[in-house]
Amino acid sequence: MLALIDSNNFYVSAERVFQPELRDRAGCVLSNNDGCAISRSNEAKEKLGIRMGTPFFMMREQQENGDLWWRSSNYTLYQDMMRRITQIVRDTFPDQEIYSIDECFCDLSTFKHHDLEQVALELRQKILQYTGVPVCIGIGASKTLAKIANKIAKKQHRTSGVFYMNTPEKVEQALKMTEVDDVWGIGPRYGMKLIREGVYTAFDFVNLPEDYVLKLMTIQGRRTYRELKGERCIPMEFERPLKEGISTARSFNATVTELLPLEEALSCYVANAARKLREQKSVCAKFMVYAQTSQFVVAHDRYTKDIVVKIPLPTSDTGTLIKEALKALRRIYIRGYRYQKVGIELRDLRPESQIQNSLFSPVSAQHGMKLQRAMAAVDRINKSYGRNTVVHAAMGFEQRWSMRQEFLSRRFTTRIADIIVVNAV
Amino acid sequence: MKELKLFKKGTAKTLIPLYADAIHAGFESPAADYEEEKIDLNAYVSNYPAATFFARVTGECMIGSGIYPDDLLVVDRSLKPGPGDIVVGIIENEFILRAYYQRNGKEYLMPDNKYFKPIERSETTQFEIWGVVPHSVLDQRRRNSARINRFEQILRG
Repeated sequence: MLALIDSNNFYVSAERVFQPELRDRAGCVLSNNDGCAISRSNEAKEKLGIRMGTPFFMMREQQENGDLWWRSSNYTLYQDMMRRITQIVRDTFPDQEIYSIDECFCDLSTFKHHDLEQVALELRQKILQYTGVPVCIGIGASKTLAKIANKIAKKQHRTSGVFYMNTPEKVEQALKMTEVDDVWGIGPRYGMKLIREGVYTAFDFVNLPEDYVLKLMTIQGRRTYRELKGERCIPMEFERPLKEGISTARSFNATVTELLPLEEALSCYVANAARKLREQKSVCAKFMVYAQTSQFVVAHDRYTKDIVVKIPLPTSDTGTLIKEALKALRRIYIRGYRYQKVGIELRDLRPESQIQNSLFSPVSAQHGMKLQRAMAAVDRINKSYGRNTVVHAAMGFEQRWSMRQEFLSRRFTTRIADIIVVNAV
Repeated sequence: MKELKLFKKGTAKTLIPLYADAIHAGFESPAADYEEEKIDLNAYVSNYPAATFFARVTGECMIGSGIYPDDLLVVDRSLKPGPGDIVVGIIENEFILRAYYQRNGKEYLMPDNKYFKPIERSETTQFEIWGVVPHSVLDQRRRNSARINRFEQILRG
């Protein structure tokens, strides 16, 4: 059996742990630049009808009435809460795959003689007590079934938060309740196709002949089909594979015309990407830099350009990458456009070890090692004293272009100045 | 094993060893087998790090327990509150610091300072316990001036 553990409205729940005044009220967390809702409380979904992606400005009425609270996304907080939940889960179910910031799969094959439902109920209670975040747990024979079980736990078993599909009757019932385009791996496009064929639920889908599914939806569809029949086709990924490319880019809070702020922003994104690169012990041999204006301006004000650069000596050194990235940016920058976004994508990632052994000449190898040690020191300092404690000067200091996060809560769990205050009065 | 000899500066013919014993580069310390992990304050104050949070105190109602304004609290949510435990509670959406106590089937959040009143759980007063405070950290140097005042009183007689 496999379990899918999924935090309920994770960002909203994480905010509520440290801000009790947000509980039992409709609220949402906004996307980068405070654009739209990306996590909503149940009250916001059900009473106010706020949907995933509802733009912030469309909620003005509810804001003014005081019916709604809202926050910018506080990823530092969410990441730390996720780390805690993951740890607690691992103490119960050691075979764990972190699937996203708020979901993980657990392989329960080693729990042969346990009452899984009871274990799951206790785990859910433990996570709630230890972190304050409510989760739902769905258990099924495959990842796709565990996903379905989790959805049912969320919809129909709100108080217990657990749904265990351990009998054929439960599976059948669950498949009948699941619309075909809600099945993990089917998606809207094939969903439409299936509905046109008269296949409305996951139950209808598993009763199709296998050849028919293969013809209609290729091998991917057949995999989902077999998963729904209880066969494990999607393996657990205990070790995340190395990322194939790392990209960072964000829209500015207002358009930018000058080169300097563009350079600062790009340098910051490079620094961030390079840190991720070092975290996974890789170097990159290529990168792409791009700059663009808004797509919603008249044609002659529109501009999008990217450039790919090969690095002779693959590296993860922030300084080197910033230098090369800025050279590239200057080549695509044209004065006069109002830029909305710049970004970098590190490509052609390779393991760090490969480089030390073969590619460096002895002199540059020594230099490379030195840079590597320096960057390791910077990473350590920034980890313990907060991001951007040590920065490259190219990143600038005021960062007026930076992301709009007007409604950011504090970093309650990672910064001593930001911890909760308790009244002894 | 490599030997390193140090010589005093002189003419090439009359080099005198300054330090004749070999310095053994890379010789293992005889204490290496006895090495232990460093003392970990986190492990000492926390039963379960994934459930441990920190909080700052404002107010003086727990002075009897040695908790002063601006002290740092370790809040461990993995602990079940027992009678006498200091807890972070929530009343009317505010974090509040008190001690948990039960008596004759009634539940209380108790201050540890006679100028404050106990809070009893009732129909009208609901509270929830957010976490247990197993340790608090007092910045002793911040209290130096208060201490000096007391010393002065004693020494002046």
